[in-house]
Amino acid sequence: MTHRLLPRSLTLRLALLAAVWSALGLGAAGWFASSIAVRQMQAAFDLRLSSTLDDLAGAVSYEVPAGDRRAHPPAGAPSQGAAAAPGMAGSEGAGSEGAGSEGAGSEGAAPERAAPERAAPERAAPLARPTLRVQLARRRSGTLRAMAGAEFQQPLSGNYWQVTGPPDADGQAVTERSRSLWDADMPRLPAADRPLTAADGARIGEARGPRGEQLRLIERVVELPDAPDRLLLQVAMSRGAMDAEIRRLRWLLALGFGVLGLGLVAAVAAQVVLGLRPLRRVRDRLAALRAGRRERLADAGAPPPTELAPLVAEIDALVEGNRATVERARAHLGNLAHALKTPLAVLRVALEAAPPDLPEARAQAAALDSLLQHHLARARAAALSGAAAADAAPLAVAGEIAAALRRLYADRIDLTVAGDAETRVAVERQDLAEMLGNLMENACKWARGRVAVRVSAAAGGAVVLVEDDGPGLAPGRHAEALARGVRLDEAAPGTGLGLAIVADLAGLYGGRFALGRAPLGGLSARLELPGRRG
Amino acid sequence: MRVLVVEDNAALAAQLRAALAEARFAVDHAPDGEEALFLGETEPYDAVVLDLGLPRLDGLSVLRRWRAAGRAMPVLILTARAAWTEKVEGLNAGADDYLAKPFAMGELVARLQALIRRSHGLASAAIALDGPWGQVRLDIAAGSVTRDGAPVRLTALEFKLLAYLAHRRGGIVSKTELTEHLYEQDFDRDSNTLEVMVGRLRRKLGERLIETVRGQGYRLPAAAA
Repeated sequence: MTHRLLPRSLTLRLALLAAVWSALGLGAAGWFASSIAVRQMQAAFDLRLSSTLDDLAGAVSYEVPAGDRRAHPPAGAPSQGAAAAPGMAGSEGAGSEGAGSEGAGSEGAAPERAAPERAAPERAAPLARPTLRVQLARRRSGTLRAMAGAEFQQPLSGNYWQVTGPPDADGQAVTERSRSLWDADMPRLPAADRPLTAADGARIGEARGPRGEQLRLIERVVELPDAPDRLLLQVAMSRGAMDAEIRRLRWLLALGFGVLGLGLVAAVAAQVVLGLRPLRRVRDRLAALRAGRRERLADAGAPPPTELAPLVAEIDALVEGNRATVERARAHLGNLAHALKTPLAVLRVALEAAPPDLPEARAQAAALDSLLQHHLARARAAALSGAAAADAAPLAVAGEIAAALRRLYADRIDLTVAGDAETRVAVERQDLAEMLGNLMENACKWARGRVAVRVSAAAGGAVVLVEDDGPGLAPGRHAEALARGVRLDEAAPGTGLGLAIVADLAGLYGGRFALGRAPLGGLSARLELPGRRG
Repeated sequence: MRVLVVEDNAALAAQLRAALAEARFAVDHAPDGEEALFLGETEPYDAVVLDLGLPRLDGLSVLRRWRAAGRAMPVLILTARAAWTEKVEGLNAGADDYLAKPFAMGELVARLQALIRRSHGLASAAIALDGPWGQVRLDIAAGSVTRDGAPVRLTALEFKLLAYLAHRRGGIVSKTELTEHLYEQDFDRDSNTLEVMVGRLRRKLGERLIETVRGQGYRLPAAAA
């Protein structure tokens, strides 16, 4: 599955993983950092807004004319005017012009602009209106100066304030606003579900300015002491600058983390390339080994890294094992060739004789055949023995062979196979079949009517007993029967190699083979085979 | 007795043909698996000698398909592959005997005759055909016939006919069946020859030894119980 998802190159694979991981990690870190920074910038912005609002609140004076006091009779009303606006001019509309001249030259403009509109209804209605004044230059606080400064003066600058009084009898509210608002009305925050009171404190939110710009707006209702009237104080500043700052911050963060990520991936790729260099060296040496330019993979002059040392050692062991196997095979082949030469020589002489000695020739041909079978079986077993995967179940193999033998001997032999089905031995299945087949067929050849095969588990392996009710062998001839090529039966067909092959194979696998007398009366062949290690 | 030899090695096939013909078998030869399959499915062989490594279709597949088609003739596998696992596989695929190359021709012939005998339920190669005509002894393995102890000379075809009837003794054997089992595939069959041969056998071994069942065929008397 994974091999289809991932590229085959280890370098690419690790670089890809590093890229994915650093993209995820750095992305998360960048998002975290930028959200913290943005929140702090916003908090600072809001702090500035609210302190400007505080200053605005401090600079507001509100006076209700005497005539109007009947409509809203507050307790202790007379003190209000004096308290709220010390040194303020008279209660007529013209007073606002005076305020302009009283304030620092530049900030007088806003009240000045607001004055004519309010002055007209005031003159039309003889009823005296409450006076709302904002005195900006009185305090020396930095914010207040800022409020009076260019940013609140320049029309539609994005920085605005507005103070709104309660509506009068005409439904017209008394309003003072910064000159920058340029007669536009300050937008309101989305309405709360009930009218705002002083207890609500300041509210901060987003709104759209007169130019359609995004504003951060703070508003608060102030209840003046001893007066029922409430003033709505609003300060707004354009988010534009802050948003630009945020964008810049985000861009810088993305750039920084991106460069960092690319660097990480490049570092991983470089590390893999460098890290795999010893492996490449091992590969080159292996190629040299295969080409015969060197004997071993390990090099005393340049030992491999610790992680690769076991691999190099294992490969060297494998090469050594292979070399030994080839040596053995070569030796087997040599033995076979030499063993075949003698009967061949006899055969030639027997055939060259004036009347060919045919019985001798036949005997030598049979000997050649025996030798071939013997060496083939040995060579195959030698090549297979030591194979780690050798594993077979004697009972199952014996069962299959019994099924086949019953086709050959069904009419005269009662062949039974019994024992432990779980028992397994560390023997190649083919070799196990060779041993059991030879033993069982041999028993069938000699039995009068019964052959019994028993498989049982033993310490470190299994024991297979093959017994028949035939004539058996005299104890003294048991060893002879195992000698190669000896036939104790000249009547029954066979190569005479059966038992010798069994003994050979058992020896190769580290097992044991012995002959004895069976309780049934005939020969008992006892085959001990090793079980699986580990 | 008619046998099919399936063997792709021409030299060995020729040797087999010669040896089996000498043992008085009618021999057909198939050099590859497909022809073997066809012949085995269409011709009534008394036995088959089957090599396993064959061109076009391997011997085990041929054997399995014969058995699946209900062909029950005895099959002797003759192969160089002598490992027990292969032997087991061959026998469990439906073979009746297994002989590894190299082999002695005598052993092959003996085993083939034993297989045919077994398939006809005969216990021994020596068959006694005793009756009013005397004591006739037929030894299939040795290929000899005696009447009251004296050897009788039979032609190969006469012996084949007698041997086939002996294998089927007690049963009626039609002329068609006889020709099918006595002659090789491309032999020019003539049922008159059969009648002539039966006449000669009667003269040599006793007139009533071979009974004619009118309109159906011939019969040898069943073995005395």
